[in-house]
Amino acid sequence: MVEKRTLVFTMLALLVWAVLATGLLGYYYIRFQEHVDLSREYEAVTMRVNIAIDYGNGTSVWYNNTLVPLGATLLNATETVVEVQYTYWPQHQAVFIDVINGIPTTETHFWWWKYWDVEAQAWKDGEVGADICRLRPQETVMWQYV
Amino acid sequence: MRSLTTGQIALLSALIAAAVGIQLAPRPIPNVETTSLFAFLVGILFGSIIGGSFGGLVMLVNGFLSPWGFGGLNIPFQMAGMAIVGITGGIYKRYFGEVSPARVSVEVTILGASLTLLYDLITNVGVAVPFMPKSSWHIALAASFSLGAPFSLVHVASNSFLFGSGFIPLVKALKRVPGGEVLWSKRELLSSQC
Repeated sequence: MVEKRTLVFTMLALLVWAVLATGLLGYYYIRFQEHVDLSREYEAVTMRVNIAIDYGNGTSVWYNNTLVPLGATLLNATETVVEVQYTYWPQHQAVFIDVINGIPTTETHFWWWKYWDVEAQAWKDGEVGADICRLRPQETVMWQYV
Repeated sequence: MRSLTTGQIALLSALIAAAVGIQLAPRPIPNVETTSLFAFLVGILFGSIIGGSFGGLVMLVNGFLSPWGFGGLNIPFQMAGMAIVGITGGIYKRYFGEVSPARVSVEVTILGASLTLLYDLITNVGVAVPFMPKSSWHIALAASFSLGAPFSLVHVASNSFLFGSGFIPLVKALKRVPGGEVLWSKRELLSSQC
């Protein structure tokens, strides 16, 4: 038989947990609603794109439905999901990616981007620098370490 | 209310000074405080009335001089919340001598968490009051409680730790201080009456 005193303190501990958990749930809900309202407010000037990072070792990370400003370049969009270092090459009038998430371009490996061609249903190589390529809504792009 | 000896008055004054001093000291993390533990301890040492008055007084001073700013309309709620902590200390005194120190630590940890949460709920009502004329009272209360929940979590966690780890050592230390040599347990009470 459980002692009454033990029962009282156990109930008290459970009550604290329940009230705190309810409060934190409410906090999460309010913050979530704020984000929903904010994204609704900026819907006209933002778009969603899908970005994949293929690290070349069998690991691919997808950042689906990434919210970026309308007219964002591939470079802008990539910078919102991963850490990027790049160099501007005046002779090409474009940037080349040096490092993504700490993985650098070397003499044998480099970062290359592709986009998903919806009509052809296939990946196609990017033809311009990441700072020149302007993304379209719902576009899917991939960085490959090749 | 029983009368106090000179030593007890001196000890109570020192505890008030210490509690006010720590409460008013600038802190890097809000809601980490020692006043609750002091109020609870004073309630145990001197009874519910003095414990409650102690909590109320410290929060009254804090309301005007807090490094976080003037308490305003929330001051009465803070005083009431902290007074309850002191009063509960006086009530718990009747029961805590019946069990082992380890069990007292666990019980005091749970009491610390419960009283801190009750304090936060009361002060959240104080935060919600100014917003009640602008929106319905239940929305103001729910928003106040929900937006304060992360702070409550820090408050409850820190006070649980303080009550659990600090109560027994403080009780032992105070027994050696003039004015703090009260009879802490039923066993001590009974042996004193023999």
